Amino acid sequence: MIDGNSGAKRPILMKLAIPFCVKKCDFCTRDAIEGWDTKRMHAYMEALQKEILVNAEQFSDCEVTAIHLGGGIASNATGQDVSDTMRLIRQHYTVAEDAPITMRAAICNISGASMPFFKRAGVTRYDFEMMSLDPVSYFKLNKRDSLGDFPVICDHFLHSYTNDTLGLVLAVGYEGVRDIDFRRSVNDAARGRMSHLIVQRCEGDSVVSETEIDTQLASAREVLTSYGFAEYAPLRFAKPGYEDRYTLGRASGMETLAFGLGAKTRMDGAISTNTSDLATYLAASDDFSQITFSVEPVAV
Amino acid sequence: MSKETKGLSRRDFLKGAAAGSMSVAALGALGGCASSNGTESSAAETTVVAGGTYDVMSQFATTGRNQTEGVVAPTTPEEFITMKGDGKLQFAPGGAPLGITPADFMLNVPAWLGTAPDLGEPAGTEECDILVIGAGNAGSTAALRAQEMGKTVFLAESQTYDEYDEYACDMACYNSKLFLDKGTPEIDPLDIMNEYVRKALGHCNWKIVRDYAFRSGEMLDWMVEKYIPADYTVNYAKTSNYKGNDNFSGECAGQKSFRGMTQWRDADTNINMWPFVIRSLHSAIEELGGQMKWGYQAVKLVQDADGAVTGAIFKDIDGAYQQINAKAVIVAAGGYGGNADMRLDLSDSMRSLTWAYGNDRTDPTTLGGMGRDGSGIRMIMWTGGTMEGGPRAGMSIGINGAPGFAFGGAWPCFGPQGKRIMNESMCKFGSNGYLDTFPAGQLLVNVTDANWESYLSYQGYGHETMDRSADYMVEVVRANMAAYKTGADGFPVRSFARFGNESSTVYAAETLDELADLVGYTGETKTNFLAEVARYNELCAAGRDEDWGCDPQNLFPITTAPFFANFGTTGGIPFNGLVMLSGVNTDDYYRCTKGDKSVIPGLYAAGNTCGNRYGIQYATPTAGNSCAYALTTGYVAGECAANDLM
Repeated sequence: MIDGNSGAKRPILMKLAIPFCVKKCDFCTRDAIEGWDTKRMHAYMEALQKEILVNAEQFSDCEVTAIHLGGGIASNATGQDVSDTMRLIRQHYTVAEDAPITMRAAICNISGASMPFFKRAGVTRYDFEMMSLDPVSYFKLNKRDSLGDFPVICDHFLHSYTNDTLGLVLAVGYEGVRDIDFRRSVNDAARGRMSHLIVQRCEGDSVVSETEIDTQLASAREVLTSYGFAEYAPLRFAKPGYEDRYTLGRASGMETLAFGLGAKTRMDGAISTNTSDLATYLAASDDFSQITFSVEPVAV
Repeated sequence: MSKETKGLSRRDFLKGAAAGSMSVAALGALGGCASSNGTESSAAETTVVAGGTYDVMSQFATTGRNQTEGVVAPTTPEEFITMKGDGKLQFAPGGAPLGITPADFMLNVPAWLGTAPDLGEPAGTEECDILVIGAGNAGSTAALRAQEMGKTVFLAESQTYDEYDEYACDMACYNSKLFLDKGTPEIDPLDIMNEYVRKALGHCNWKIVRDYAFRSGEMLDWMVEKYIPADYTVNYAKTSNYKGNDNFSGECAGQKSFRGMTQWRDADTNINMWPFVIRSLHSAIEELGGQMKWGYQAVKLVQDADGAVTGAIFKDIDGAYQQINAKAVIVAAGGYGGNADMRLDLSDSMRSLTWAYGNDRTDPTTLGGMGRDGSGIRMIMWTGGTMEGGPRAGMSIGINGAPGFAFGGAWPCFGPQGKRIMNESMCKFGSNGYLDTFPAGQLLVNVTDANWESYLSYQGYGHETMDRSADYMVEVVRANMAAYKTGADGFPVRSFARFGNESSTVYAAETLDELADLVGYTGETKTNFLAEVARYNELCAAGRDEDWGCDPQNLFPITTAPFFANFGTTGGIPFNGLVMLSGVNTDDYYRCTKGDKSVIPGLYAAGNTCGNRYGIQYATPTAGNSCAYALTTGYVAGECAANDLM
């Protein structure tokens, strides 16, 4: 039996694609809905809720043991929308009581307006895409958040000194970021209240050589190990007991029910991929035949 | 909403595909399918979405005349006066009209405002004398004050009881017995009031500022003596502001600071206890006969035919609408810092600074804010209320400590060329505008030496110093510094340049030469840095900073190993603070006003919903004045509303 599963139903993972990104970074190649448009983001979350609801009865034999909100900066969605979506899931799906809910997030989205609703949504783990904590490289890697906000968010909103909610995403391999800059960033993260870390390899034209990346990663591993972190999956680090159940489940081949733009559901031996066309998704998210881009058997 | 498509469900398809009996082409045959050829465009691609009589001008300025047809420059004072008085606007050749209209750049109705929703019949209706919206600092004191004055009060909060959290920490209340009984000298409240009005450049409601200066101590004592359990006060109220700054003169760079800040912290864990302690006020409201309405999210205000506000409609935790009628409504729902759209429009000072870096003007995420959702301000404006004029105060410009950081000790600061760049003792009064004239990502290095604690004792009561409101917090900093490590990895120090429980990385070296290497000064910048430290030490010896004007009490030489530094950079995304401090217009009694300054009957604002407290920008004559301002405006607004109903 997998952690969190009652045993009576099939344990599955759930992913909600909330692929918002105001402006993509030049080292990131993920496909996201760019720009800030409050109405559009709300419309997307409503469409997501429709898809979630229309599929509910078909997966009544499953129990969700971990939920991931990602595919972009999921915290760009309003707290109210995230909360409403999670309430819908709990009403119509069987969710394990201890199912961790992880959200890809940006600290610029954390406020007295959003935090009460993220809390109501039951988000237990935040992966903040800070990309760097070192001041010198920070301004190259993060064009969205104020580094000065970070300690205030940790202290006032997350109360991260008393819980395990804080996770970070740091970028490795960006051209112009020195080895010492990256190491200092990792050091600052490890010394702080972070319980888990994702190291994201930079992609695109502004990337250093693989050799340099390896050097930086070796340095990061040394620092993180010295602070009690272990690499439980490639480039995923956590203190003991704080590993991401969703990541572990994916790595072990667990079935995954995924909703949203471009979402990939892996279940019953097949992979169903949703459309990546936003207009199509917004218009017909409750009609799987309209939004399914492909259905293929899982390669053996 | 259909749950199946032509008899087949998604699950059917998954199973069919796995068995090889169904493919995406079959979906196409059902009349749907996003694509049948296996290719489609990405989200990004598809969402692109009696003067003198001499003619001095003829004597000296003889070039460039008669170049503009029909325009002749005056040559005598008399001609100048006559021409200026002809009422004609003169356009230079480059001043041709651009063909734009006000609507191209200015909207009478901002998009974020929207309109009050039509909610239909509410599921339930209740009555009370005074309805307070928002159980944060202002709402809690407003409700309790009105309730103890004999009114029946409902306090509505969008969070449920179990979810409840709030984000205040420091609170600056003046002449409280809590301080006076510990020997803190009494402060002339007129000095306090005038300092805050000066900081606002007079762009504030002076009566509201006066309420804060004269009554914040009274308000704190009221809470402590009547409603907060004594053991909470004994155990958690740290009234020091700050520890270890006993040598500070009270005035720095010509500006005054005052003692009065309280932090409610648990000594064992250093946890901010105020979000818990404030619940004492909620309990007291209920004990006095008032009601807490948890999980009530205000949606709109209710008005009668004459425009008087007579209640509000809420969405409860189950999604049902509930109406509460009242003779007076106090909106204390916080500011708009958590509403990105409002922030982009209303936070004009910080917006202009971030735009000056060429940032995307449509991206509100580069303009951070941590406050509430602005719903209180929107609801008031739907009833005819108005937003205070700009520039509007956020929290960041007047909060800086160490350059490059939001908080922390004000240490000598060296810029990208290794040279000092500013008056470090002035930075707490606002350095963002200056620092943001530098290119982004430029190194800012703060340096001190083995005598750091002695130097710290001369730093002030605002945020230009380490956050250390209790002896135990000083001990942590002292222990961190004593355990310093030299080398490129640095070592963590609590609050050296950060807030609360968070540590910052400090670098140590036995020589200034090594320190320069650690922070990244090389070549000429290293030479500059070492020379500049020597220059700075000479200024310290002279007791006068001829270069930048640092307050003499903060001039301490960097001479004794070990040497310490931390660094930040200039940047395009400024720290914007916990809350936005601009709000709606009110009269002297917290009654919301329309554009003609007439009062909207029955409607009051307090806390960060209430405008005209800070004018152009936040300032910290004492750290924590925002939180205490909220508490005090709530206290007085509750009193005003109750008095109006007498």
